[in-house]
Amino acid sequence: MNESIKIKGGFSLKDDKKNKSSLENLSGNYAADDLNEELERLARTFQQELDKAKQDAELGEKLGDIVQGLPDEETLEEADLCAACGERRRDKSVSPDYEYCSVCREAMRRYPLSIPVLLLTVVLAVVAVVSAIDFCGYIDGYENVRLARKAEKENRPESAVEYYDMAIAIFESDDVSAKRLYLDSADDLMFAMPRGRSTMEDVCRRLQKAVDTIEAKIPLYARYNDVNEEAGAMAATLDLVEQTMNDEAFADYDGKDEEMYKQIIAKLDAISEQTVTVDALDGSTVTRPADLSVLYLMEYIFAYSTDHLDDTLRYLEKTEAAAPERLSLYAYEMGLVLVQNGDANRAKKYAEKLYAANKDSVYGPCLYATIYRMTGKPDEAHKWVDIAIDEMPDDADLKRQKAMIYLSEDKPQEAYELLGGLMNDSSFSGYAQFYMTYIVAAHELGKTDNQAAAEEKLQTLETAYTDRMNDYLAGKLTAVQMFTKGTGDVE
Amino acid sequence: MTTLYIVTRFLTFFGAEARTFFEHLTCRILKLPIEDTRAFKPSELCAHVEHELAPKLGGAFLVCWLPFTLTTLMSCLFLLTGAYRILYIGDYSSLISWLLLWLGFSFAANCFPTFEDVLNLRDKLYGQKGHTVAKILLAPYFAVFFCGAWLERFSITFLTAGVFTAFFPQIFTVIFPLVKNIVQMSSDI
Repeated sequence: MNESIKIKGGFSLKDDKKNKSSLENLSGNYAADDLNEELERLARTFQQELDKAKQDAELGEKLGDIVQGLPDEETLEEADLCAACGERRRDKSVSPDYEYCSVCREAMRRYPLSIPVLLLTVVLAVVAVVSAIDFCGYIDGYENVRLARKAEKENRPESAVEYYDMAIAIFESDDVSAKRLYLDSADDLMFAMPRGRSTMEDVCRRLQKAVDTIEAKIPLYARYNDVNEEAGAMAATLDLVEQTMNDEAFADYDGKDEEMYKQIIAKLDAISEQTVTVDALDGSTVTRPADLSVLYLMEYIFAYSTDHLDDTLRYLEKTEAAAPERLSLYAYEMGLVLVQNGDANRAKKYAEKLYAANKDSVYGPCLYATIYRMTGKPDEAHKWVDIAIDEMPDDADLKRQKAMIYLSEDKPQEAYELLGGLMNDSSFSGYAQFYMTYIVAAHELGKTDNQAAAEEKLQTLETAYTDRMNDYLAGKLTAVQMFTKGTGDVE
Repeated sequence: MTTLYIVTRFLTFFGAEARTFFEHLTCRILKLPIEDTRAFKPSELCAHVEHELAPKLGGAFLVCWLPFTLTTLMSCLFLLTGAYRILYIGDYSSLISWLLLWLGFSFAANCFPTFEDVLNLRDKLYGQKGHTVAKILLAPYFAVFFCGAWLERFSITFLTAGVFTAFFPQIFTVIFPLVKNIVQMSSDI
């Protein structure tokens, strides 16, 4: 008989003949209920184990899928592995020869910044900002240097030196060395300087400030060594000239003794054979020939002041030949002498050179004004003297130049009013040529009182009338002739 | 040529490090995958970051422009004191000024992008249809980047940086009055 004993959970234990004897034996020992309970317990246990086995089987299937997805060491080549991690497959979706897997690629997008490099960059940024702040602190100084360089390009060396000096003052107030400014300003002074000793000494001082004794030996500063020695030689030559002029043997010279004039000239000429000693930048002492341009200029001044006008042109030509680049030494006077001798065209060339070389100087415009005044072009003369007056509005001699133009075109009223303003200024200390020009204007207008007042001031200077003034007052020379013929001036 | 290039990067150490950092920063902003950020690697990419090329025009331009601008700006800031003190007014005794001059030179020598980045920019800018306005507006930048990157391959930017440093005061003179006005207005405020 096959009876299925239904156990909870669905498991049935078939009652077949094979196991009947066992069951009959068991039933001999247990009651039917106890047997059923035992069978139920076994069935439950079996069911639990069966369920568990089913779950494990399902999990195993899943794992099997995953395992199948993993590269098989035996089938994945090294060339397909990520170059960074070496574990995963390269992400070929980026490009066929891409070297990294998708996981590493994502990590590479967030590549961390290096802390030391970050700190270094922050420090450098701070230093950069500090540098900018420091620059702003000296911006006025740099502005003056910029204006100085601009003035140099515009051929205004005197303005350039002024700007350099302002800049030097700013930097030196904070102990900032400004060597280059000293060197550049010394160059400008040397180029544009008048004939004064103080300027020559100023050139040497600036160079000595910029270049110390060790630096002076460097080839880079060789040019400045030369400039220093040149300026020093000029100053030393001036000393020799002064010594000669102050010689006791010539103490009685009154400007009229021809013999003594020749002796003085001979002694001055002898200086051209002499040497002078100059302090070099490296601290040594250098011997150089006397500076001929300064010597011949001094000889010109001596000849002019002693009315040896025939010699003036010769000395000016020698000055030019000795140092043609030093226009400030000879160009103005050369132009004057030429125009006085009737060679206005040559005179104009010197005026052009002078004005082109130094637009700050009034000598160029003044020379132009004189040339045009003496060649009967007063309008042009006014234009040029006005340029000079714009440069130096308070200069008395420039106003005198303008008054001379008025007188040359027979406009004494304008000349009188122009010079009268200064005459009435109590702080004005006039000079002989100024008073004489005023006297001409007053005389033309018949203002005898003003003329007398000017004559009194002239007498306080212990200066007598010049020959040309005497000729004018005697009626031998008109005012127009005074300022258009001969010397074109009161003397 | 690569050896010469690497040597010049070492000589301009700080500029090279900073430029690499700025490139790294730019790549992080653009989320470009970065492969190698070492500044001093023995290859043509010394002082540059190895990274994937930017896929779009904006990114391609930024990768070239941002490090260039930051490096050039810092170079100018260093030279404001370094070049002005030493070359403009002759303050040769200040060691700090010499240091700033060298820093300015270093940064100026390391301001250009890699040639690959520039070519990528060219492809994005001139290789596609459209973007006509961008082609015109970005043309000067592209020209500068292209010339600079090409010169850098032959280490010529080492020389151009020297020229830039030597003439910096004269170059800056162009905007000097404007800068002075700004400084004065700032101090008045």
